[in-house]
Amino acid sequence: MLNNDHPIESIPAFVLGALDADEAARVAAHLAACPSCRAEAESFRTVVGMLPYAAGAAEPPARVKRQLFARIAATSAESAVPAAPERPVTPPSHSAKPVRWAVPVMALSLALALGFGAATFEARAQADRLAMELATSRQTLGLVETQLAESRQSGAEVAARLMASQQQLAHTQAQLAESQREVLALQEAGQQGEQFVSFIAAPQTVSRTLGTTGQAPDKASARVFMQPGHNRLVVLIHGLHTAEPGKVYRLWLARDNQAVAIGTITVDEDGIAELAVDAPEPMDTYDQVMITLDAMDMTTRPSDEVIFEANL
Amino acid sequence: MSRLSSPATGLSTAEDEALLARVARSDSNALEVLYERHARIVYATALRMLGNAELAEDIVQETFWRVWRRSGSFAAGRGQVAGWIFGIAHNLCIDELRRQRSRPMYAHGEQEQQALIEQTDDRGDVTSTAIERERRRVIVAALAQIPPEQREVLELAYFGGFSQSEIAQRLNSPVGTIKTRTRLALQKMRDLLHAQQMSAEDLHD
Repeated sequence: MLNNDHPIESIPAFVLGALDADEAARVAAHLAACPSCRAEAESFRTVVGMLPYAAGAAEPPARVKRQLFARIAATSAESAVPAAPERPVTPPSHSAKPVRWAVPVMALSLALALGFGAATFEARAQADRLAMELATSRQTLGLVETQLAESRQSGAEVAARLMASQQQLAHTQAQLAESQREVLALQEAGQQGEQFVSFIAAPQTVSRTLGTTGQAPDKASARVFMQPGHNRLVVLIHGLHTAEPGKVYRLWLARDNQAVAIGTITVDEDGIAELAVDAPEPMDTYDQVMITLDAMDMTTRPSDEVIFEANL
Repeated sequence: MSRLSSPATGLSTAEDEALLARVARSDSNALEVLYERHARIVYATALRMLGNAELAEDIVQETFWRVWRRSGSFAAGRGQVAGWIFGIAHNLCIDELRRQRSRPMYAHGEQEQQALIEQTDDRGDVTSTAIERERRRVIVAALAQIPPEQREVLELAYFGGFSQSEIAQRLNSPVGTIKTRTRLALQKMRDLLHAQQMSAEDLHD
């Protein structure tokens, strides 16, 4: 219920959490944009925040608190654990490396300085050691390359997973769009319903109960609503069976014994049908209305299976 | 608008905000103090709404779990911490009630509830603190002053967890009437609590 577009009447129920979801959403949207209504809501929130005290106080069993704090302790422990193994493991030899290389080089220059002959043996030993170092380095390099390849592979896996997530996201977005379309359709249906009701409730609308024939089910009833000088008419029907296959209920208007097919009527499984149509001419120019059960394609004249009829 | 805090309760409100700020910094001791302060009210409310001790215990645990995880989302200076906590609990209870009512088996749940203002007997209530008893006295006194038909819709909405249209159906009245009663009830309660606060302040000046 709106008051100058401010949902004054609904704000208290909103604060109590007592609105249906769609109306609650409308009020929430309004509050987000309207400081005065927001202040109004806040003032009620203070009252509502006191209501629980009216229920009294009761000590919950001790296990509730135990479980709560065990749950909290478990999550803080969980969040503390991953920190340790995340630190990269660095080989302790790393910083010593330049020294390790420097020693044989220095030894080799020393050997050269001392004289080639005397130094040959020494130099060969150094060369052997260098070769070993080189082999070790190659091995390390190989290991790094393997690791790199593995990382690339897991990189590919991550990319694949990312793609899957993106697909999922696209899917979710599509679903969201679908839901939005449904909401729009529902809103539209709601508006149609409102138009229906406002037509029937309008002061200038007159209504006429249609007479049943021997071919109508026992409790069948039909009523037409129309406005003098206007083409619109609304028909409400209760207690009718759904039409058998190949047949259809059809509404006819007649004047001077000339009947015009106005529209077909679908009866739902509860036996209820409603139809709103515009006749070709204003309603007060017709003198008869009837509803017949016709063959699907018979639109030139009504069948003999008349269910309802009335003079206008 | 007017924040409800008589001098006696004003201190506890400020303390609550300080505690919640500590909770936001992952101080579980502060959460424990908040629990000691408010769990009794949350539990009693959940018991009243759900009529089931086991469910009410779950509500208490989940409420304070959410206080722990969402302490940062409380806007300081906007309402009271207690009201915020009760709001979390109330929403959880409403969710549970709507879940129950949407089940095809749902038929019970219409536990006869004792009217709130008939529950004012505090004898034997050894668990509540002075602040709780004072707030209860204030709110029950205010409830007693609004017309019974307004009190009824207020109770059905807050403690029954019924929507306005559900209440309209139960009481066989138009939704518009129910909304008006709800509004009048809360407006009157607001005025009464405000007057109460004023007189409490006068008393202390």
